[in-house]
Parts: sequence; C-alpha cells; structure tokens
Amino acid sequence: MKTRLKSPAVYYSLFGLQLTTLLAILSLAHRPDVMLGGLLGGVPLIALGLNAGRANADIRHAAYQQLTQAGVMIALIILVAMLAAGWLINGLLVFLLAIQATRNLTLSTRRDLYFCLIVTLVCLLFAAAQSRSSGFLIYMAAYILTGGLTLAAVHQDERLQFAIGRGHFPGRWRRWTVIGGFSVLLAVLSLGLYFAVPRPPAAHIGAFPAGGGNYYDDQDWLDEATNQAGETQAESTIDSEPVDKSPRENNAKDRDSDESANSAPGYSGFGEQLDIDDPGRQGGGELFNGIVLYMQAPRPLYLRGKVFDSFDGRTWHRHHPGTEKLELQNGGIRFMEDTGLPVIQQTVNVVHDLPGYIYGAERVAAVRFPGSVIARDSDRGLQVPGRLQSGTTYSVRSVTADAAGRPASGAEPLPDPEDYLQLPEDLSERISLLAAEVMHGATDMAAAGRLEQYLRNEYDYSFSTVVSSQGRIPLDEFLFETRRGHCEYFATAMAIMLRTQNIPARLATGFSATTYNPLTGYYEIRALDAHAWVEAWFPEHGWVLFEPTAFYTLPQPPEDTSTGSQLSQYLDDLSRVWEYLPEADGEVRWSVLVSQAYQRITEFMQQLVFAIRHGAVLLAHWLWQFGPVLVFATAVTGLIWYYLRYPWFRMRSRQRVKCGMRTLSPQAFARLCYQELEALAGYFGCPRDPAWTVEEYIDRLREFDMHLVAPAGSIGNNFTRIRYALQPAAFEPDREVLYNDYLRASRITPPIPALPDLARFCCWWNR
Amino acid sequence: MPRPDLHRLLTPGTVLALVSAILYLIAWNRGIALLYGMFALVLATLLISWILPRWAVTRVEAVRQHPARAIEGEEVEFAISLKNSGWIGRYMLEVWDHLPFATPDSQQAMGFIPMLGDRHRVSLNLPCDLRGEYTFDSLMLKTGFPFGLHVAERRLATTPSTLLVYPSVFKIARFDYLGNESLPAAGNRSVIRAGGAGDFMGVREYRRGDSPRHIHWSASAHHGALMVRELEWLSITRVTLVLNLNAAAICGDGKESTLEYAVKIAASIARHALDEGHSVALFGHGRDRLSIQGGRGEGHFQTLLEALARVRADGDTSYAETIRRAGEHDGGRGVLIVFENQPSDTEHGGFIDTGQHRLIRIRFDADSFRYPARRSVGGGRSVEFGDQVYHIGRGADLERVFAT
Repeated sequence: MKTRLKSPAVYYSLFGLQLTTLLAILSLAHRPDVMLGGLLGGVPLIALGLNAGRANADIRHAAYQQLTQAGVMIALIILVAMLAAGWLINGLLVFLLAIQATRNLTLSTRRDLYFCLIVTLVCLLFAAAQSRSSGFLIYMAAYILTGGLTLAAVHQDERLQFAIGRGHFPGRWRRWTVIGGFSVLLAVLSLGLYFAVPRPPAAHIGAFPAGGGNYYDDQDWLDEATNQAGETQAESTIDSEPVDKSPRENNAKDRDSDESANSAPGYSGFGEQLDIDDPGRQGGGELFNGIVLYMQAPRPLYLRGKVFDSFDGRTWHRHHPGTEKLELQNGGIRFMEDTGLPVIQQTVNVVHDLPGYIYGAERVAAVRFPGSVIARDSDRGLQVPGRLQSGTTYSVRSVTADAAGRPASGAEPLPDPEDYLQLPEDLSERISLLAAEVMHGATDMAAAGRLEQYLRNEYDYSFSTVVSSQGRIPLDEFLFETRRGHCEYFATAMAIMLRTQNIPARLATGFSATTYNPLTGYYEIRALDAHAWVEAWFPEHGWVLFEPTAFYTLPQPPEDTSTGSQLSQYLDDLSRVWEYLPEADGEVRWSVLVSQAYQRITEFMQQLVFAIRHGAVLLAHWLWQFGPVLVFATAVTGLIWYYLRYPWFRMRSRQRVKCGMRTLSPQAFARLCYQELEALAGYFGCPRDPAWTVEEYIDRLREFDMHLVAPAGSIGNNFTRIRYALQPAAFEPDREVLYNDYLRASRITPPIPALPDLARFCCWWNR
Repeated sequence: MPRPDLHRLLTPGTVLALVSAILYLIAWNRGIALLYGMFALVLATLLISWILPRWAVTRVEAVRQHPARAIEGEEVEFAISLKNSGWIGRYMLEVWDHLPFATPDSQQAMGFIPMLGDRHRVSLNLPCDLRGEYTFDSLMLKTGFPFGLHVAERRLATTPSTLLVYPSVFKIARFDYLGNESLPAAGNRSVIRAGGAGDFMGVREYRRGDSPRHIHWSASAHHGALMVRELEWLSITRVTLVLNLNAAAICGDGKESTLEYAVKIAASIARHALDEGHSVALFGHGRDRLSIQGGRGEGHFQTLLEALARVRADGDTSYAETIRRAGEHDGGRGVLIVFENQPSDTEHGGFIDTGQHRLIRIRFDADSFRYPARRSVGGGRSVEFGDQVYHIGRGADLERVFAT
C-alpha cells in the first residue's frame, strides 16, 4: 500500500479525474460565470498540487508537508464556518474538496490515491443526487473513464516496481487505440447495464424532503392559523425531520402584487380568474418553454394548483375565494389518515419562480414544505405565502382512487353541489342540446366519458388562440364554428356541458407532469405544460379527472417500464411539443433533433431486423431447394482442398523463392530460403519451437524427413552464417546453389497417417 | 472461531462491489436515475475487471530458456518467450517464475509485459544466491488487466529444465596441509612422494636426534656450535574432504548454515589443493553415499564441484562414523579435513580416531548459526593437540580466515 507512485501517467489521469469532478460540481450552478470562475481557480490549483505531489513522490519536501497541514487547518475553519451558517451538506462538500486540494501536495502513495478516489466519488455522488440534467451522464462517463485510467495506471505502476524483467511498451498510437477501444467497451457495457438494470419503485425510506434554501413565512397567516386552530381539520403533524430554514425568508408582505404573484411564466391560469380566451400563454414576449418544475414520482400525474367553480361565459373564478390558514409543525402537515387507498409520493423541485401554490396530485393527504404556514381553499387547493421560489423543494403525498382507469379522489360527500352546477346566464341552448345528444341524456360516468371522447375526437387542438372574441361568446364559437382551440376551451366546454346535464363539474389548472426523462429519473415540467382539465363529481367515486383535450393523454401508469421504452416515449413527447410549437426555444429544438435522430435509428434498426429476417427466410428457402447440391459441392471442394493444400502451399512457396532469387541480394535470398523452408516445414507438420536453435531445428527436420538431410543443412548453415556473423556482408552465398537446395528441400512430404494414399500420391507427384 | 482476514477482504475490488451495492440501494430508495447510472458504471467497471483478466490469460503459451550451469553469485538470465495464439493482443501480463536459487525475497520473480502481440520475450536476470540443482517445469501467468481489481492466473506448462548452481570459491592464500613444520621436526611422519622438493629456509642449533647429514658445517664453524640446515619440505599428499551430511548436525538455515559454509570451504580448499598439485577426494554420508576418489586436474575439480553443488544433508550417519569410513577409504594416509561444530553436538565429542592421518579441523561456531542475533566469534586459526583448527563463525570473512 505504501508503494510510492512513480509513473507520470498516474498523475495525468488523476488530474483528469479531479477536473471531471470539479466540472460535475460546477455544473450544478447552472451559471456560466460560476463555472468559469471555478475552472479558472480550480484547474491551476489541481495542476500545481499534483505537480508538487509528483515531485514529493521522488523526494520528500518538508515545505509541502507544512503547506498540507496549513491547508487542512484552513479547510477545517471553512467547515466550521459553513456549519455555523447552517450549510451542512455544502460545508462538507467544500471541506472534502479543500482537503483533497491540499493533499495533492503530498500525494505520493497508493493510499493517497485511494483517498482521492473516495473523495471524488463522494463529490460526484452528491452532484448526481442533486443534478436533474441528462447532460450529467457525460460527467459520469468521463469520471468512470478517468477513474479507470487512474486504476490502470496505478496498477501498471505498481507491477512495474515489482517486476524484475519488463517487456516493450506499445507505441503511442497503439496505446491510444487500446484506451479508445477500452473506453468504447466500458461505455457500451455501462449503457447496456444502465438500461437493463431493474428499477423497482422507489422506497422513499426516510425520504420526504423539503428545503432548498428558501423559507416561507407570513406572520399574518400564522396569526390567522392560530386563531383557526380549534377549527382546523388538520389531524396531526408528520415526520419529525427538520426543515432546512435558510436565512432567505420569503414573506408574503414582500410580494410585489397579487397579479405578479399568481402569474406563471406564460400562463395566467393561477390568478383570481381565468379568461379562457386569453390564458396568457403568449404573454407579450418571447415564448418561454423552459423547465419550471422537476417532479419525482412513480407515475405520471396532473399536479393541480387551483380550482375554478364559477363561469360567466368568458372567465372562470371562484365562488368562495377565502382560504383556511394552517400552521405547519416541523414543516409538515397531514390532512387525512391512512384510507387504504394507494398513496403516491411526489417530490417537487422548483426551477423557475411560480405562483404560490403547492402543486400536487389530488387528493393531497400530507405535505412537507419549507415554511411555517400554508393556506387551503374549499376545494383543497394549497397556497403558500408569496411566490414559489426557484430552488424550493417540497414533498406531497396524495391518495388516489381509481375510477374506471381515471384518477379520482374517492367517494366523499359534496356539501354544496349547486356551486358546481352554475351555468352562465347567456349560455347557448345549442350547448345543452349537444351535451344531451352526446351523453344520451344519461348522468353517469360512462356518459361523461362519451362526452370526453366526443370532444377529443371531433375537435382539433391548437396552441395559439384562434378565436376572435370581439362581441362573441368564445365557447359557442369553439363548439359550433371554429371547432379548434386550446385546452381551456376543451375543459370549459366539457365542464359546462356536464353541468347542463346536472353533473357537478369544475375546472382545474395546474401542470401536466407526464414527460418522464428516464436518464435522470425526473418528470420534466415545462412552462407550456401548464394545463386546464375537468373534474366531475360522482357519488361513488368523488371527484374524477377527465381530459377532453386531444393533445394530452390521461396520466396513466406506463405499461412498458423498460428504460428503452421510456426513452423512446420521452423523445416522442418532446417531438410532439415541437410539432405544435414551431417557434419554440432552442432547447426543444435540440431535443427534437435528438428525437428525429433516434427515430431514424429506430427505423433503420427495424428495417435491418426485417431484412435479416426476410433474408433468413429466403436463405432457408434456397437451402431447401439447393441444399443437397450445395452440400455435395462443399464436400467436393473440401476434398479437393484437403488433397491439394500441401502441393498448393509448396507451389506458392517455390514461386516466392524463385521471385526472390531474381530480386534479392545473396544474403537476403539466403534468409528467404530458410524462412520459406521453415514455413513450409511448419505447415507440413514440423514447426520450429521458439526454444530451438537453427541447428537444433535442422536436426529435427532431418529426423522428420530423411530427404532433407543435405539441402536443409546447407540452407541452415548459410542462414546461420549470415544471421549471426559479425560481418554478414562479407559472406556471399551462391544463389543458384541455394535455389537448388531449396528445391530439393521443398520436396518434403507430410507424414499424416490418416491421409489416404491419394494425398501422398499428390505430394509425390508434385515433388 | 477463526477471525476473518480483513486485509484479504478489504481489497479495492470488494470495496468497489460494496460501493456499487450501496449505490443501488440509494438509487432504489430515492428513485434517482443518475444514481442508477453511477451504479451501472461501477458495475461495468467491476465486470470488466473480472472478465478481461480471465480472457487475457487464455491462449498464451510460454517457453523458458536459461543456462544449464551457473556459479553461486553469478547472474543468470531466464528468458521467457510468450506466444499469443489469440486474435487480439494481451495486456499487462505478469509471468511469475519460482526461482529457488535466488534470495528468499526474490524467489518469486515476475516479468511484466505491457502488451503481448504475437510473440514477446522477457528476461529475468537474477544472481544465484544458493548452490544446488534446480528443476523448472511450469510458469504462472497472471494479469490484473485493466484495473488490477481482480487478478486472474493460469499455470503454463513448459518443457522441464534443470539448472546446476556450483558453489562459489573464495581465494585461499595459504593452507598448510603438512602443518608447516620443518622436516627435522616433522620426523618421519611426512609422506615423501616422487616429485617433492626441499627449499632451504635457514639454520638452527643442533638438537638431539637431528641427522648428522643435515649439519651445516660452515655455519657451525662461524657460530662455534653445531648448526643444522632447516628445509621446508614440499610434498604432494592426498587431501580428503569429509562432509558432515547428518541432517541433525546442520545448524542455521539456507545460505547461512554450516552445510553451506562447509561446501563453500570444501570447494575452495579443493581448488587450492588441486592448484598445489595435491590429490583431492570427497567423502560424505547422506541418504546416499558421497564418495569421490582422489584425483587431480580441472576435470576432477569439475567433478568435485558438481558433487558439491548437489550435496544435501539428508542422512543420519554420525559424523564420527563418516570420518572413520573416510579414513578406511583413504587407506590410512594423507590429510583429512573435517568440519565440526563447537560446542560439539556430535557423537565424536571432539576426539577423532584418525589413525595415521593428519587432521585439519574446520570448526564452526554452532551457536552463531543457530542464533543469528548472537554475536559471532568471527574467525581464526589455532593448533590443538598438534592439529590445525580453523574457527568459523556465522558471517566470518572466509578469505581472511584462510589467509592466516
């Protein structure tokens, strides 16, 4: 273990390893200036440290030892300072990096190297757990490659130190070819394992996280919650894991305005009212479709933010805008006990500032959030003080019942059904008639499903607002004239039509979390995934989710959970967005290019498989017809080859020697004669053992075939004199004599007992 | 209950396997796909480091070449030629050969071949540390390619070969086979043989019993008293080296044992005696009887060396009995050179009936060989009961001892 490192390759690969780790950590910042600063500071530090370590491996320098000790002290001070500031994880990470940077100065043994490997692996693990980008796989691949090279280099270094003898090292190109081939092998195997390894549903043992550097507090809400404490329906607090309270608090009083607080990037569906004609997706500027949320969940979901129950023909709003304030105990609150229904846990990371709602699948049973208080409306929509800040992480547990394959809240009473049966005063009669016609006058869930399918099949989805609403009723125009619109039209149409048939219904807004990135394991929720859908109430199922918009699919657990299938689905999802959004941003464009490339590859592979199968069928058919002829021809060819291979080999050898006699110098010709004789004898069954000298081999040849006594001895002597003489040029053999000797020697006969006489005849005849 | 060997368990490979298992558990608990990716990468590394070494040692043949004879202390080249019959090169191959003639810490010699294309040759150059006859029949091929996390090995059969290592010989400046006595004092014990000659050394006073033929008359006249000539009598005699091959009598281990010292001294005395024109015989009783008749010349020295190279202390015959038989075998004349331990652990107890033989004792300080940490007496020479005795301790400078 204490073998000192000697090979420079070990230090080069260590540099690559530490650089990869540094880049992986810096990538978490998502900021070019941070990355640039980190690289400018980190790369020279690593390079100088390792250079000093290499020098220290040869001769121990006391100065480096003292510098290392000073560096460790500084790292400890930084750790203590960061712990005092409440940054536990980041403090440990910085401490590890600082320790490694100082230990580089004295990195000279295998023990130091293994310590470095462990530190970098821990750092990479931390980064992998934090990163939600597919691009992080590149860092992982680079790490495993540089790590592999490090291990290989240190292994070779160690063995060379033990070795008494050593062989030649391959040339540079050969070395890089080996490294390249080896990298490809590693990458292919890793990729195969990555896709093949089973991924059981996440256990989430002790993992119900909340935090992320923000803390949501509002004293007014808190006072209100205290007053309402006796009336709250919250039953108990949950898990005792403390929530990360950062110094950066988000007070409701700091909110700029209600309007800005409730506007999602490019979507106004979370405000006090929703204008179906102008949901604000094109919000006056460049279309934004960046990722706003990452969700970790076992299945695709609709994350509900707000519910609207009252529609005036153009805008949705709420009958009862009031909310109930709930104080969080240890950052969590539980709304219901275990009902026996399946529980789905969602962990949501906020990437972009969003309206202050807790987006979660209905029906929320428990929440863990980095704040002191939240609010809940009468439709169980959850609000937080202020806007939801980027970097925030929260967890939600939802109880989801199954109603004929649809997510439902489970049977529950509806206190005020009239609130969900309200219709606009100027509602067109045509809409009621259309609903009755489609639903056949029924009021059950099957009839609602028929209406959903009708809207999905008979109307086209258009992302842009195509209805001019000047003096006209948008819903009426959507249903009977344009028959084309965005999701708010579809959802509003279905909700209103259900209400005309006396089925309580409401419109919910939130995010469609259905794009699963299998490379990262997160659902990616973009700004344009802001969506509106319908919830209808049935006594036996409670609130049931309906999706009348054809562009979207009802969130269902995937049937094929293999990683390959998930990857294909992911690219399909991105491609689908691209088709509807020709002016979308560059990230989507890049993804679509990948998607198209993947599709091309898939198509090519399918065609290849088809061609192979088709070819196999054709070949089988052809074999069936011509098989006997082919077998016969093969047998005859094989027999001919079996009998003529020796004469053919001898003939080729003689040709080469004859050619050499004309072109080569006497010395080179003598070498050629011997080499040809050795090759011929080897082919005929008397190969030369590497341990034999030329003289010993010639003796063996004489034992092998008595005809070779004179000519082989002559050829061998000439070869030995030229090969081992101090001045080979001084000896000049006679080419004619040599050629004649070779011709005599090449009459060697293969002594194969199993060979029938015909073969011997062929050989004899050819002599 | 035996305790597990942590050093064997805590290899980089097992640690990495543990890390991969932990990674999988974390990935499963948190459902983080990138951690599954980390797991896949670590697992791929483990699989490659387990599969590739097993493949790399297949389809490789080896041939070993080395000289048939060598002298102790001389460097020997073991050339190992490897041939790869596979269609892809092999990398980071280690050829291990057990070379028992080398020092204990380098008996397992390794040659490292970074890349084996079609054929490759690697040389292991090692000094012969211990005389003996060694047989080699197989090689061990190992590789930890590419990461060294797992090492696969395969034994390669090679053509059996033998190496005979002769004992090294040190220079003996002077060795008195006849006790360095003048002929008058030696009386008729000296054996005169043809070819002998006397050299004048000086004169001394006449003593009773001196032959009147040796009186130096001119010196007597000059001194006014009878003076006699002193002549150093150079004779050619028969020297018999008697080795103690009783296994129980050997003190020390390996090169630092009384047997190895005895063999080395015997070879050196033989060299010196043959150079002086004496006849040298070798006698010993191991499991087999060792008996080399007296002879002269380089050919005879070669015979002696080969016998000394192969000699082993594997008998149970007492040394006294061996000396007695050597004396009988010699015919009652000549010089017997015996090797004994002090304090005596043999049966003869210091008294040896040698009949008419002159006796020269090589006496080993047995405790210095048994207990290497104990301070050795070094070496020296004395005379006991008219016999020359050479005292040899462990680590003694033999050349200096035999120069006195």
